[in-house]
Amino acid sequence: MRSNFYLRLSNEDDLKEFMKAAVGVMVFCGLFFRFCKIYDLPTAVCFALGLACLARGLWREYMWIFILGCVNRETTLLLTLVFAVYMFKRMNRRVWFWGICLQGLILVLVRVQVMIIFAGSDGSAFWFRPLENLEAFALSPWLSAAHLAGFTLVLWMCVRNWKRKPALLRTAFAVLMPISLGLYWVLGNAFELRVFAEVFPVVWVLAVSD
Amino acid sequence: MKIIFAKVLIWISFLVVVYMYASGVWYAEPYARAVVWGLEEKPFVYRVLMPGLARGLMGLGFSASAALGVLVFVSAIGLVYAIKFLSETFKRR
Repeated sequence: MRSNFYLRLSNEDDLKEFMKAAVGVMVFCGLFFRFCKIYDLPTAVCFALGLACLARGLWREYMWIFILGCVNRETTLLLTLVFAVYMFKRMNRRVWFWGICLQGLILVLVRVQVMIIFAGSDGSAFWFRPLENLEAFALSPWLSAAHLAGFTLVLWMCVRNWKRKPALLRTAFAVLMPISLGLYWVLGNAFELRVFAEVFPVVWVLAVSD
Repeated sequence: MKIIFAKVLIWISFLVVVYMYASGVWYAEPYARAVVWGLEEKPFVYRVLMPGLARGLMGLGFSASAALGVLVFVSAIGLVYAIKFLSETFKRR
């Protein structure tokens, strides 16, 4: 099903969707303000558009968004994982396989090119800090408890009426959330929620959907 | 008329919040230049889309920090429409 991005001004349902999206972005800005980076918002844009194109069958648009996402941030790999799981039984197996290979090739090419260009830069390619994060959580018990309560609330808002939620969103949540939690603990900084930028559009639409 | 007024109100609130968020990435000019010209440390330097776009804006006369600020606003507006597009995908089905 083809679609377009035209925004009409005269439809109240349209206003409701616009308002939900605008409030969602305001929540994003509030939640991810700490240590925010210039590429956090584009990450969420790429994931929201990529998932929408997946659901609508807009393959050419999906690949362009995927390429832009890879140039923006390497975690666009997670979009390929959602593609692999969601499209497994919804697509010709051969097309599915080559689709994954193509996305993997694009990601590797972009990543290798960027790593070559910036080989001389200071720092390391990954920050591996699970023990430091556990220590940080242990040293701030009240903040950790609030953190856990927040996650529980988000989880509840997403999984209520689970079977009535769209299949793509359920798949994306099931794939992205555990991986994001793992990345947060192992590669992120304690209490720095930016790592969840990829899954935010999915969580928001799941949480506020009727 | 009511709908247009509501949208204007939402946009104003939205722009205020995004401005406050942008203050977190609205670096002082020397550091903004470092971000735009790829002088950050790894792994942050690998994320080249926004610095690349910022360099394009600098070619139009923007300073580095202004270019990054503009990109934050454009990204935030883009995210509104992206989330709306995602949400409407499932309303059509």
